[in-house]
This record gives sequence, structure tokens and C-alpha cells, in this order.
Amino acid sequence: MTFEQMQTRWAEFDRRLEHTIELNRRMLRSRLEDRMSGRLGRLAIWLLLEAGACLLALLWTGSFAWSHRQEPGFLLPAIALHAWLSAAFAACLWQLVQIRSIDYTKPVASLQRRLASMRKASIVSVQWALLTGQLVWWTPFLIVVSKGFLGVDLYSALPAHYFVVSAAAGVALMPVLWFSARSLSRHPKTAPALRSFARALAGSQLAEVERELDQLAAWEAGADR
Amino acid sequence: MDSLSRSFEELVETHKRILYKICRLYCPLPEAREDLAQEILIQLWKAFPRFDSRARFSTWMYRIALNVAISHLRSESVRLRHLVPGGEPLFEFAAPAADEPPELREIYQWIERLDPLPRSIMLLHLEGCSYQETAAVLGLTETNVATKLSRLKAQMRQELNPGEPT
Repeated sequence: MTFEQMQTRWAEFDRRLEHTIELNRRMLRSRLEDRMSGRLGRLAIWLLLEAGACLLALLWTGSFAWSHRQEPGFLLPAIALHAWLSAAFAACLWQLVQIRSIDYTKPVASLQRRLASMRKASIVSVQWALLTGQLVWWTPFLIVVSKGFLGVDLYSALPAHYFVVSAAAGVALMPVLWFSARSLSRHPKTAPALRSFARALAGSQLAEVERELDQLAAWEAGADR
Repeated sequence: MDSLSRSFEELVETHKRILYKICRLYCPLPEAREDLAQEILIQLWKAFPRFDSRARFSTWMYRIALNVAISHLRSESVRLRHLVPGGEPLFEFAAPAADEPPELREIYQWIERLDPLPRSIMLLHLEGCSYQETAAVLGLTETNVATKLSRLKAQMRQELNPGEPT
């Protein structure tokens, strides 16, 4: 088949398609009346919930830090948690702003580049959140939550070496987490949502999106083959 | 139903073939096509109040539909999700899909093997879009479009007619 023949066939089939497909107008109308929300709309709702949870936790750690401002043993872990939550909150807000500004009427090359850059930023933020989270969600979290919710002072309840061991366990967990994510992401029976998360953590999603960005740049510059 | 919804419905009806072909080319799984068709419709509807009626609706529709289809194809959640057919379909067919001529299936199969971006050039060209229109939809220069098309033509000759000299 030549290219011209392909074009002729395509036009023939296109004319025939007019009569063979019927748009389900009733379904279209009901979707319009539903005030449809797309995939990104659903993602924005999740991000809003996440930002709301972060904000509540930020307010709580802020007030805890303020009420223990004279006690460095509680103030420092609270500040560490607060800093981590601030970064997570900022990342959520940034993603929300980015999603709101997506314009599908933009030319394909520029919009796809923008979407790929957003995906890259989102993957990097998940990786950083999880890795740095190992430092704050062990010892500082335990100290602050025990004191704030249960009124227990872990410094007097536990031996000093416990904190060193706990912090070391947090650091040691980072490579364990990475190896587990790598094997989970390769396992065919892993649930889709978990596999996606594992792929982000293991870095395979990042490598993919970076390749995609390179391909897009080459495609726009006409340097692709 | 207000006038905006009515005119949207009319325009989608007139250009339903674009929607169908893009879903067909960017969704290898028939059961996932409905999902993509609805996602395209959502984005078309959201952008519709900003549509400049002096512009060509088809060009505007190609841009949105291709942008949604390519990102849908690249979406991790869509690729990994186990899709289950269900709900009322957006398209109804007068003839079953099995009645599709083998030549058409061959054309679709060849285009489906291309990467998502070259696939869009091929589609727009087969749809009769000029270099200028293709360049405007994709955000490339006309020279770039022409170069990519000539490469695609050579690739097509090689793959669909392997015995013929190039």
C-alpha cells in the first residue's frame, strides 16, 4: 500500500464512519448536566484533602512548639515535624496551582512538555517526602505525639540509647524501603496503586519521565529519528 | 438545556468522527476507549466557553483531544488500572466492530505502532490537515512537520511493503 492509497482508503472509511457510528446524545446530555469532573479534577480533590490534613497537623505542631518553647527537648522535634509538614503542604499547594493552570487548548508539544515536567516534580517530591520522612516520623514524631496526646514524657520513660537506636533505624530503613519498592514495582501481582507508588519511590517512574522530556525536546527541535 | 450546551452538542455531533478516531488510535483496549472519550468530552466542555467561534472547531478539537489522549496514554494510573467495561457507551455502532474492513484494520495497526507524537502527525495528515494546520495543532514549525511526515512515509513504505525498493 502506498501513502496516497492509504490516504484514499482513510477518506473512504471516514465517509462510511459518518453512517456507522452514532453519538449517544442522551448519554452526552446527561454527562453535561452532571457537571462532569475529569481525572485531574479528582486528583485536585485528593490534593485538597491532603493539603487540609497537612494544614491541621501544621497548626497542631505549631501550637505544640509554641507551648514548649522553653523546653528544647520537645521544641526541636516539633520544629522538625513542622518543617517537614510545611514542605509537604507547599508541595500540595504547588501541585494544585499547576493543575488549575493546565490548558488543554495549548499546542500539543508545549502542553505535553509541561505535563511531563509536572509529573517529574511530583515524583521527586514523593521521593523526598518519603526519604526525609524517615528522619522525622520516627523519633521526633514519637516524642511530640506522646507528649501532646498522651502527656507522656518519653525522655524519662525510655532510656537515652533508645532515641539513638530509633533514629538509626529510620536512616537504615531508607535503603530497605528503596529495595522493597524496586521489587514490588517489578512484581506482576502488586496492586496497581501500590505498584505506581513503588515505581515512583524506586525511581523507575522518574527515569521514564526524564526520557519522555528528552524525547519531547528532540521532537520539538526536529532532532528525533 | 441552555444554548451553550446545545451548540456544544451540535458541534460534537458534527465532529464525532474525530473523537472516535482519536479514541481508537490512542486506546489499544476497546474497554478503555469509553473512559478516554469521556475524558476528552470533559475537557472540551470545560474549554468550550473560551472557544473563539471565528476559529475552526476541528483544529481546536484536535488540540484538546490529542492532548488528552496522549496524556491518558502516558498516565500511570490508566496503564495500571484493571479496566472493567460498564455504563452506557458514548458511541453506538450500526455494524459490529468485526465488520471492519481488513485494510482499515491494517492502517490502524500500523499507526498504533507509532509513538504517540508521530501518531498525531500521521492522523492529522490522513485527516487532510495542511502543514500549517498540523503545525498549529502540535506547536511545531511547518518545516519540522514536513520533515517528520517524509520520514513517516519512508517508514511506512518500508514496513508495509517490505519487498519494494525505497
